[in-house]
Amino acid sequence: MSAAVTEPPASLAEDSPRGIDWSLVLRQITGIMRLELRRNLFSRRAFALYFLAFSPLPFFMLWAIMARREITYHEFDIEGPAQAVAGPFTFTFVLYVGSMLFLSALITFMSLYRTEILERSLHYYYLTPVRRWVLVVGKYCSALIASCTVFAVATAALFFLTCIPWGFGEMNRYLFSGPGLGNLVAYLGIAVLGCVGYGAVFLLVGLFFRNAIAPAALIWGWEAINFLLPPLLQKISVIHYLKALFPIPPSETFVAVITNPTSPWISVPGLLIFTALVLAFAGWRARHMEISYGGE
Amino acid sequence: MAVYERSYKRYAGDLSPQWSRFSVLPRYVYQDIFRSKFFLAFLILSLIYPLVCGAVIYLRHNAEVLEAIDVRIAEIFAIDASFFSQLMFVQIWFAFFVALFIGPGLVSKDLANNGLPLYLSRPFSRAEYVMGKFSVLAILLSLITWVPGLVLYALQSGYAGLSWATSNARIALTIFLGSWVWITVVSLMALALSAWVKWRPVAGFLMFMILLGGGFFQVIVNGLFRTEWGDLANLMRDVWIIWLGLIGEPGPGTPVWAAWLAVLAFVCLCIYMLNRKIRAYEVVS
Repeated sequence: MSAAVTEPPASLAEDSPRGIDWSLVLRQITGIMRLELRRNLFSRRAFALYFLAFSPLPFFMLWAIMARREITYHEFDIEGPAQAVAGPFTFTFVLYVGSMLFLSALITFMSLYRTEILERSLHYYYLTPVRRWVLVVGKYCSALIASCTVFAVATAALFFLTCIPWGFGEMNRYLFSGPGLGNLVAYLGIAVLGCVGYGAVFLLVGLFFRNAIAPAALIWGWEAINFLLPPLLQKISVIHYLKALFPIPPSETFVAVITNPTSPWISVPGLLIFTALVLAFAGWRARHMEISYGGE
Repeated sequence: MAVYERSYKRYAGDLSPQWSRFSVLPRYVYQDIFRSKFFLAFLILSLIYPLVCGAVIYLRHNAEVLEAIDVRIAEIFAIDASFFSQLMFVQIWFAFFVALFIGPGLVSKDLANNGLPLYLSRPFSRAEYVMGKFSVLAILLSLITWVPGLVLYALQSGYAGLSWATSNARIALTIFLGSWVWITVVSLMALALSAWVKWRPVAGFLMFMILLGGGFFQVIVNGLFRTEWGDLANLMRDVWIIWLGLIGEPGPGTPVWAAWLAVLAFVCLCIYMLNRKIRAYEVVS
């Protein structure tokens, strides 16, 4: 089967002379998000998202049980939640963002368009009177909400499991009388910004490539060797900006090229501007896209 | 003879020998994949590092050239087990990416288009089908891993003499065996995932996930529990431990037998998955 659906004629696509009806656009985005959220959170596709987000949880549970036992017998060398968050949690979280969050963004955002093409259902969207950039924004927002929710819950769960071996009293003291709550918010922010940044990149890749494995491998390689790159090139990656937001800086490997960390005041707006640019580009790409199911 | 009188007749021509029937599959697959310029470029790129190593071996044994460029390369690069280990470490990454590009589409296309009955209705067994698909990857990955490794070993032996070759025969054996362990693991993984996941991109994604996820679990298990048994979750690490065991270099704390067991278990799982899916027909409930 082959179906070619192109942009509707200008007379249909253009809005009234008054310009874009933003309330209509908002309603359309909400409608698309409602449809897509169901797919992203409750379909078979969502299994990968849940698996990747929650896969470290059993290890942390086991660690918490073992730590609790060792604390009881005064054999544990980590003295409290603050040290545990600075040590095992931060060390794991860097990898968690670089591998699990990266992979889940890859599958969630890249499949927004690819799955529709493989299932031969994208033309249903394209036959509705919805601007294509509105569709891009709607799909992106739904995947973002799904992945942010799941990863925020998983990050919070990992954080609490790291603090729990010392008991609720100690954990409350760390959270509300110490830097704990601030740290938790920072880690949640990193997870959300990771989804925002990687999501935008993979949405764009999914629009450009039929087989996205090669670009995905290339992006992963680039992010993995980021610490070895010259300072200027380090800035062309998502992980560089995310690392700058860590409340407790993760330790670098002994061969890392040391650069000045980017200030959070630059990192956060920088990532958001980058995402907006990528989305604009994706919208432009979607506008000129022609579906050809025959090639799949 | 009238058309209505024609009925089924068994093929009376010559049959190709049983042992070589599997080679039909690679022949057609290669015609397909070598059309891709990207793949061809990647294959050439994967051979650059062995070429550089060859140049190093050449320079090390040609004193005049070294004097001309005033470099004491002999002091920089020693041609020993570490040199070949380094080479193979780079090459197994290239081999993985080649398998990642080709592997996911090998079986999935046949399954998605109900093509298996067409193969298996001929004098061609399921084992031969798997063997044929496996050989597609095995031949290509061999070209990237042990073939250049052994060529470089032969080059070094040619320069350094027979005594070097005999005293370092273990290196040649390790290049061959170690490469085949990786080729088997990667090829079977690609075929098994290709058979179970009919969508090529998803199968590729899963391959990527097994490697990347394995690395993640290795690090968190080792980091959280202060052990080295987490290495077993990472297939590439397992093969590396096997490699170090074969070549006689000190490896990390995980025993070599455990790495062998982990690899064997994974290979058995892949064969089981293939056995479940490679069938002439599928009963859909």
